[in-house]
Amino acid sequence: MRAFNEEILPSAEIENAIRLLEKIGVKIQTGFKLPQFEELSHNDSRLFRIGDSEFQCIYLPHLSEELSIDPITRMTVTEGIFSGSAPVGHWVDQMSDGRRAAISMDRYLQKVSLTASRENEGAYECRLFTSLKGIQPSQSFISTDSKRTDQADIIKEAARCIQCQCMECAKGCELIRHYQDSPRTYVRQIYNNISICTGLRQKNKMINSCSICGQCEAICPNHIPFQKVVQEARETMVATKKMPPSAFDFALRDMAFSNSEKFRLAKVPVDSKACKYAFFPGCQLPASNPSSIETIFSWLQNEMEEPVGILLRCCGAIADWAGEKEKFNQARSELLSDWEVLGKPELIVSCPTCLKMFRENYPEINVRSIWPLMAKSDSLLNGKNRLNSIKMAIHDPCASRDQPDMQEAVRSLAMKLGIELEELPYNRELATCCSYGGNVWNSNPSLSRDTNEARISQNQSDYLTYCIMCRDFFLRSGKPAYHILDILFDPKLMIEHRLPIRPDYSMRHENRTRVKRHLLKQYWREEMPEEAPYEDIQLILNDPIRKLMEDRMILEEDIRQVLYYAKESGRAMINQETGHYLAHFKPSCVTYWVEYLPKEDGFEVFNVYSHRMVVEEGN
Amino acid sequence: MAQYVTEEEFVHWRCAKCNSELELRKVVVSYLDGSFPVELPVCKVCGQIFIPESLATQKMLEIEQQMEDK
Repeated sequence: MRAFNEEILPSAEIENAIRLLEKIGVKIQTGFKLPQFEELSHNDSRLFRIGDSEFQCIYLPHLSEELSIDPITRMTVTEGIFSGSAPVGHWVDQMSDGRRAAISMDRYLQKVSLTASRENEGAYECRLFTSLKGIQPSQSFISTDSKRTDQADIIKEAARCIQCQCMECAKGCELIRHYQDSPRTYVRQIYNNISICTGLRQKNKMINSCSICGQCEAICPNHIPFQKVVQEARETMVATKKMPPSAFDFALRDMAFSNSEKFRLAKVPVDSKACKYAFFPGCQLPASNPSSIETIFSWLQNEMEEPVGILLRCCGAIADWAGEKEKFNQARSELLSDWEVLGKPELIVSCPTCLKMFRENYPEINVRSIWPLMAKSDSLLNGKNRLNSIKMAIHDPCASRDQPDMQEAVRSLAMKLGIELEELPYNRELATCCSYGGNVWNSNPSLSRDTNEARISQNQSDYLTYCIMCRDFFLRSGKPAYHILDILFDPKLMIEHRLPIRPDYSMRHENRTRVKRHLLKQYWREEMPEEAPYEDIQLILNDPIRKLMEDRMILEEDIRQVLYYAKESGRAMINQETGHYLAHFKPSCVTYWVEYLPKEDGFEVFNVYSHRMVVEEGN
Repeated sequence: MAQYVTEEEFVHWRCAKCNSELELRKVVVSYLDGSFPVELPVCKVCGQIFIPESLATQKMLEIEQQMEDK
């Protein structure tokens, strides 16, 4: 090595390297005259003798090409003798020979396999995909003749490096960008997170922040199914009782509400014992656009030639996303019971997520999307709802990813309504999630907002979609957004430049109950089951309090329960300065606190907060 | 024993049921597998607890999140 030009390999670097080796106990002896390969053989102790010293293994510099050297281990035909085959002057290849042989010699001394796990040494074809989009081709600055390349050209050559990396999925996904690494790293982190016995599970939040929408797999050149890893991790966390209880609690309680008597409904038409079809609007369309449910139900009854019933409840997606297999199975089995009561009808489904859930988890049920039906119908387009060439950007909900028929049908319906569509990046099979998927809005509200911000900045036009949660999240972020039903049933919204109303969490419950109450009365002359006594309590809530309730995920019914408890038990605190009362109650796993003042027409609320910690309290 | 509520925060509050003042008393709070003794204002007569907004939304939330990720 000392023969090299000082400019190429400075002697100080050689000295530094030698000192490092000595520091770790390597004895360096020089002055050996290395024997020829043919002269070396094991003695009785399986050692090689050179001069007065004996060696367990030896590395000989470049040997004749005629000698067979194992390409992986660099061991010669004589066990214990290693060598390289790189020609003299080919430094990189020589270094590769040396490195491979050093690994083999270390393994040889440890008496372990020389060949295991050595696939990715040296040059190999990797699976790394690098997008060359936007990269201009350029010529090499390294001269091919015998002249040495000067420093300036070497710098130019180095600047040609595009630093290959594949972050295609990160371009579409806020989660992947937020945690500043790739799914490949996340998968390892997830494995470590669910495997540790003690200490902090630092990746819980990341695991619970994925919308499980599958966009990254659809984009990935190697089709890494990251969302499946997350789904399994969540299920494992639930099964091993390591899932943070607060992660999806609010969303799961929303599902419990949808499957309670407050919303759940399975009805065949009056005078029918069974129905051939049933409308399944899912849980969030009735929550956001309650009036549309009766309009569609009534339209379907005219449109279909056979009786149409109705089935109101949650499809179970929320429990599935939360990794709660038991809760999902219970929801599934209850849904199947209701479906059987209706006479096992074919379900006509408006929500892309419900449709996906049915296709993947309910093989017993025949389902169809409502959108192709609507696109083909003449009765819906009456001339009054025809707009005059309004430009909108279409956002495909993530659950429509593998349902191109649905995507096409909505586009066709939009065009019939006179909407001129613009395509967003990441549409159709690459559709992006609004953060309702995976319950991210519950587990990571700030990431949910960032996700929406990123999506709404992609086009200046108003957004058109066919998932009501996409619409509501875009509206929350200040983007004018419409569900196609908003325009179909109320075209004046667009004509008068009005936005649809985005209900808060409490209103989402109230609207679902209204839908059930109205349908029961209108079609079956039936009343709702009796209300709980606390439901009569009237609340006076101003906008800042409503905003606080939304941010803290506290519902009107939570407040009513606290006030009812305070009224019944007399337990409350009173502030001598303001005269305000403060009461608390723990209906399930969360304790709610309400600061209030009783008024003639109800209770005026000044503050609400909650905690999950349990406090031992005297009676 | 940790004390997270200052007297200033509860001096104006009284128990509406007993019409009694509050005093700091040892109370056990728990979450998941952990429990901790803390000093909290409670009604001198009936033991009704007062937890101010700042405690619920800051320290209690912080401990809840730490316990959940263990």
